Amino acid sequence: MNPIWVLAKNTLRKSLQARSLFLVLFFALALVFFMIIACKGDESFRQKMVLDAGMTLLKVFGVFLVIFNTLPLFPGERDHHTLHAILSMNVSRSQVVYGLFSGAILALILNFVLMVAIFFLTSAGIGLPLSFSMFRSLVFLFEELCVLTAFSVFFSIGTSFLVALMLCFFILIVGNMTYSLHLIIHETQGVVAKGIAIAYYLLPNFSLFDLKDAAINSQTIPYSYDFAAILYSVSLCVVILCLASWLLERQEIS
Amino acid sequence: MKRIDTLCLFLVLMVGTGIFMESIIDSQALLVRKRAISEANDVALILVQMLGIRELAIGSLWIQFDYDSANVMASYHRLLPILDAITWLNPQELDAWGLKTYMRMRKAHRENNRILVEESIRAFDNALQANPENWEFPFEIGRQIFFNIASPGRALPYLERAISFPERHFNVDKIYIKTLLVLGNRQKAEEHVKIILQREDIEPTEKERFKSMIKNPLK
Repeated sequence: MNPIWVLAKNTLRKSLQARSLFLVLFFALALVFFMIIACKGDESFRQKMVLDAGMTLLKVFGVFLVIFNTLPLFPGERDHHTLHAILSMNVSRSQVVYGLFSGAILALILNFVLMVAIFFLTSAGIGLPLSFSMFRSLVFLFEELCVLTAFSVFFSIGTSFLVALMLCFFILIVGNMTYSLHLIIHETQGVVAKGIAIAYYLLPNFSLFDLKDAAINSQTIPYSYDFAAILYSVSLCVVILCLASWLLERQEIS
Repeated sequence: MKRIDTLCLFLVLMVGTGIFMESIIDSQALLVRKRAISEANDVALILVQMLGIRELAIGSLWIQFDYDSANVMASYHRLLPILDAITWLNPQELDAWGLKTYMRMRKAHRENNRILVEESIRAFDNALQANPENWEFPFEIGRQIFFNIASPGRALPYLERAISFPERHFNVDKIYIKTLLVLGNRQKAEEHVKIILQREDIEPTEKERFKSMIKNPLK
């Protein structure tokens, strides 16, 4: 059997043992809480609030799930000496990285699907029409979380848990604020501006997964954007995982 | 394929798709994203923006606004900062722009404070820049200048901009004609009424109102 698949299944099992599904329960409670807050407004406001709250909570709980589910994976394998056993079974270090990443993605899919199902049921319960654009936004959100998972795997290999945790939040903030570099580019000139421009395109840009601004302007986003977003997230994940496996190969596992 | 080759290939793919995706999103949406952080008057706002939970924050701020304005324990002093926060988070919130400009202009009128009036108009000009494709923004500021500070000369350019949008509501034309009449430009007002009368999407009763505006300009 493919070692990546075996590692992925094992990682998913560990995630379930760690009661990661409790997050889904808390997501449902938080959604109900926001519905109670929003019940004061009129029908359209209530629907908008539930939609905004649902999407935001999906993002917040998705981020929590990714970070707290992925970060302990690699240190766990190392501390329990299972990493030695895996590597002694002719499994390469790259396969370990891809296996852990695949397992984390499987756990993310399971939790994300459950949270989306709760969100859709709640939305249908209050008569919020389910649209295709909503589905598209969810796909974009999932892609963003996949990229964050790759970063979590990378940081968990290179640093300790606490540092990795801070770096994950840092990359999330940087990713959401990458567009601010445009401001600096406009105010600088020459080599510095070029350097910042290069950094702008090399840094992860999470705002590309957020189409709310365009939706507010009633701009129609072509479907080619969806395919580009998939390609962008896959490329970003592959680049980070390549760096992660390179980092792991340079580490001495004692 | 060696790892370095894979890395380079996907790096190029990543940058390429990133540039492609950015080219699809139009300049308006990017303008919203690029607004200056220095304009935020609260660290919490920047944090909200960073974490990408803007819509939820705006909804919560509207609830807070509703609570502060309509509750028995109303705290009116908090309303303007709430509206400022909403427009910073989303410059397309016309209701928030309209309300805060109205409140500032009324306050300025009461206190005879010209500086505050100019500040309000300047702030709304920024909103116009962020929403160049929306007729409601020039109409809102034109209407507010006309009614709240009684300055038809300053309102006219905004209203002219609003009537340049074919999808506008006919109320824009009403205020525009009224402004022209107040400014004494009766000929231009009559010409505009003729254009309105030729429009088929306006009901006959409304057309009669337009005619009466010319007949009784002071009404």
